[in-house]
Amino acid sequence: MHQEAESEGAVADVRKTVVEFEDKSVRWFMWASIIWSIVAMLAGVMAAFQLRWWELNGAFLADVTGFLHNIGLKFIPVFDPKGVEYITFGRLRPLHTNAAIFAFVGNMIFAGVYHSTQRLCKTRTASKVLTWIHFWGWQTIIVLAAITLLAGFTRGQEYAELIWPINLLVVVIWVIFAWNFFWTLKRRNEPSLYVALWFYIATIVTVAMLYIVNHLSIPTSLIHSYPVFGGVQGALVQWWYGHNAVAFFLTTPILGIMYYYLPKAAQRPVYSYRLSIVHFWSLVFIYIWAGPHHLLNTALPTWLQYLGTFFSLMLWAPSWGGMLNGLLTLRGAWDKLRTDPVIKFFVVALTFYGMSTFEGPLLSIPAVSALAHYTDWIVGHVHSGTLGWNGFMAAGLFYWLAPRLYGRDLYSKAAANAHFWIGLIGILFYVGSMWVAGIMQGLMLNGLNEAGTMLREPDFVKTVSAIKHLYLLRGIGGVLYVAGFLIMVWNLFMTMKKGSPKVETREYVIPVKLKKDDMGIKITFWNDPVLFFFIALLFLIGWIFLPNGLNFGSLGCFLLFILFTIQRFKQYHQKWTFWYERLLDNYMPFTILTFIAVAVGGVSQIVPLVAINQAETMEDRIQVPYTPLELEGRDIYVAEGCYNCHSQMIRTMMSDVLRYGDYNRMGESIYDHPFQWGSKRTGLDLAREGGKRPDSWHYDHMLDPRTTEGSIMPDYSWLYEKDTDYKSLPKKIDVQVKLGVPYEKMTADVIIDNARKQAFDIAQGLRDEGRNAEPDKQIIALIAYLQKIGTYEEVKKEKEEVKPGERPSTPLFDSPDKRRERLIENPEY
Amino acid sequence: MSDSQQNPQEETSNQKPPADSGPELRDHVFDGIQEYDNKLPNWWLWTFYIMVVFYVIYWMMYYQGGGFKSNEVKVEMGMERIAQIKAAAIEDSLGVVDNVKLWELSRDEKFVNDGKVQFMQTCSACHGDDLTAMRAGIKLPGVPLDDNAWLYGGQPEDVMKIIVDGSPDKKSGMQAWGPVIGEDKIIRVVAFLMSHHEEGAPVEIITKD
Repeated sequence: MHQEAESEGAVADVRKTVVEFEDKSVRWFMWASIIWSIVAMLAGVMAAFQLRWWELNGAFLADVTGFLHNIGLKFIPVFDPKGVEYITFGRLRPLHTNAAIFAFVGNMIFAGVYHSTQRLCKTRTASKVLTWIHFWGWQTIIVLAAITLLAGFTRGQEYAELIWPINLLVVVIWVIFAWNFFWTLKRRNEPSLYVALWFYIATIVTVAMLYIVNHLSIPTSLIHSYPVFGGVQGALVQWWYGHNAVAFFLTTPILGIMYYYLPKAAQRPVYSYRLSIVHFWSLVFIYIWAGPHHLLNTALPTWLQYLGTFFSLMLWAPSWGGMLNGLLTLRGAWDKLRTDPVIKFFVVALTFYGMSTFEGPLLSIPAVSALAHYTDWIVGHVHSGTLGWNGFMAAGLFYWLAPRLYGRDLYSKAAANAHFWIGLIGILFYVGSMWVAGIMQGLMLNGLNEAGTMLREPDFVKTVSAIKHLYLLRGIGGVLYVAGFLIMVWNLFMTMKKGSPKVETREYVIPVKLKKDDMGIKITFWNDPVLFFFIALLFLIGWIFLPNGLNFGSLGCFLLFILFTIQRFKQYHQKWTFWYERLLDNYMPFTILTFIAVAVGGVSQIVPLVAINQAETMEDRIQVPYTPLELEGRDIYVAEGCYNCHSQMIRTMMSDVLRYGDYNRMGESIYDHPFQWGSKRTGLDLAREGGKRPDSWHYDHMLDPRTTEGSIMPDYSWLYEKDTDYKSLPKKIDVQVKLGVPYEKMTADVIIDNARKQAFDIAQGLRDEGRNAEPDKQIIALIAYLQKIGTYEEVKKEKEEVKPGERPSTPLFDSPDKRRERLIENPEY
Repeated sequence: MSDSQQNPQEETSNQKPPADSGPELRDHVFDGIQEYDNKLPNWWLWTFYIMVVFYVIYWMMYYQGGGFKSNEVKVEMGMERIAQIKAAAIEDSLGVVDNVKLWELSRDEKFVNDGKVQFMQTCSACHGDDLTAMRAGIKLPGVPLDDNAWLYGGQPEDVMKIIVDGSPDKKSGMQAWGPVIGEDKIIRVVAFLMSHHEEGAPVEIITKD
């Protein structure tokens, strides 16, 4: 392969080709991103203020419409003061997150990818038809998402809420995008792939993998399905997805965009090609493993938690590699920071990227997570990424693109500067208030008295009241940020109006016979870098999973092998370099290797857990399956988005145990499809809510949560009016059985009768206590579910007797936790 | 990583310039974008190496050395410790608060007022602000506490026990407040409650249904 690389100069014949870039779709994607950004942020601001004033969940509409009605606008109907179901926090927050991620950043990515890929490949986007199917398909998805989420149709997992028909549409459109992108790569007139394209490739293949696996579900109707993975398995897969949605939807494509547009704007060479290589490969490989850091101190097996922690720590440097390559590219161009708004936005975006990728590993340390998890610190962390990194990269990109797409200067540089400062102050307000709120609430919740025997603040509501004013500051930060974006909308609109859509054509001189895409399977895999990677990986996995003794051997081999690799690299680094440069001329082998690098982490974590998360392997407790009515109640819980504020996971921490009861075991949520462990406690944890309070308390509380003084929960008056959907239950139970939940065989009639009877009993009990409860209303099903949460059976298992001096039988591959248990029980072995 | 400049094999003609000639600018240009090939910053590399080494060492200590306590063990030991402290405390306090003492406290203005503050925070949601377990004509989940009818006994010690340990009726009765607000505050709540009653008044024991 060395010789082939040298003979490159032999090709002498060149031809001229004129490329007319397809930029209309870029303009449309840009405007779609801008419009959705405003929608997403307004939803966010609304949700933010709902936490400060609970009335904003719907009750305020009665006041507003009443006022309008009274001043003479008689045609306006006056709303019910008990609230409206469509705009509660539980429904609005999923809309906000989905719109921000998929609508705002999604369209921004597509604009950047379609624009830069054509230039980097010296060719027009392969298919105009596919581009426009992609554009309109994606916007359709967003509109459908907005409608269904507010209607309460949801899968109940964060950033994966959309119902299954929309999931299918997303997959189809993503495949069309991928097809169009790779087709363009195939037709490229520039053999070598620039680093921006590496990141685009990683994005496309990884998002497809994550999205499909985490959305596997079995439908029960057109608008409802149960996810295939449940309980701890569901939690692991969800956060493998959730974390890497941040990685491969909000980070890698934006890094790709940074690698193209930053050097363009700064007109400086990229700082370091080899840093690009090292940080790209380490980033895509390590990122995937870090998902479990969202589940620290939970019932997730400890070895997975530790993998999450340590891969997050190891991810720190690779993440900063991107920041460094960006910021150091500006060496010699720092003066532009004063004059060019684009550079300003990029620099602050990279700074926020650096900050939040330092904060991420910090939050992944179990002790820090114990304080920060479930609090607003995490919310602040996420927003320093989305507002600071994504939002400012988007603004920089649009300010750079618009003048070029409309053939005139930016309408107002002053307005762009104003946007910059208003937006930056907005972020600081937001992130600052969330840091204070998160740490304050975390300390209040975790604080014990001096003897360590009692919670210092047993009343949860007080910890929420204490941070209410910070919620106000956060909301103001959000308003400032949107205000900045609105200035941008006006500025870009004026740029568009004063300019005209520009058709850019360029003439390229390219060799007649391009040397590209000629690498076979053998050279792709049979070479030092790839082989060494696989061998090292095998040793590493052996170290994690093999029994004691063998694992030491594996680690020893790993370390020796690393030394050997370093030696080998010193000797043959030219050869390695040539191989890599050859790989860059071959888009398909590059894509395959990228896919392997990202797939390893997921496979190593998810596959072993599939085997563990079975009823037979649960050691101490196992969940009691829901009755039909309780299952329906759970679906109502999910539809109302209760998980946005209530967790169901008591962590292995003294403060959690003292506040909520015994910590949760793996088996206690094994039949939960979807799992509802949650990620934020704006309200209490509900994992042991069942039986804690009388039915009548729940009945009163859902109607008026203010029976608990200081509560900021919305009213749920419609649950007392809407009927329970008994008819769907037979199908739902059927699917649950398919998913492995042990229901007895029941006919449809038995299921419905069973549910009706339970509802009647609960309603009767409430009537006895003077509540005017009707059995067939949703509130009854919800109460049935709430009173069931945390119900389990003890598992009696005979322990294998080990005679003293004898070795217990050990499987070859085993969970590290099991191995440690045996080690502690039997130190000699 | 790639900081070897000696090229011992000399197997290629494409020699790198010596290290001191500044960063190498790669000759390939992508749509006007060029790339330097600067060395990786050492502090950056070390950040990476240290994290990897930390991972390996910690994992070894935990999994191969059996070191540190797991979270579960820590919590169980913590709860065990609390149980011991509580048992000792109960032993100490036995006889400290009895019916006589509690009736006395129920006539102590400060204790009653403290108890009232606590009652309004934690108890009035179910028992009503005026102890009648009614609010705006609607029956609240709790039982009325202003009459002589009691479910589990009407002496201060009985009342205290129910508040500390919760109702024996686990399904629909009151939760245990001892672990939540502590006995200190509960004594004050009892004082407040008994301030609505007279020592020696008849006590009527009722059942729930």
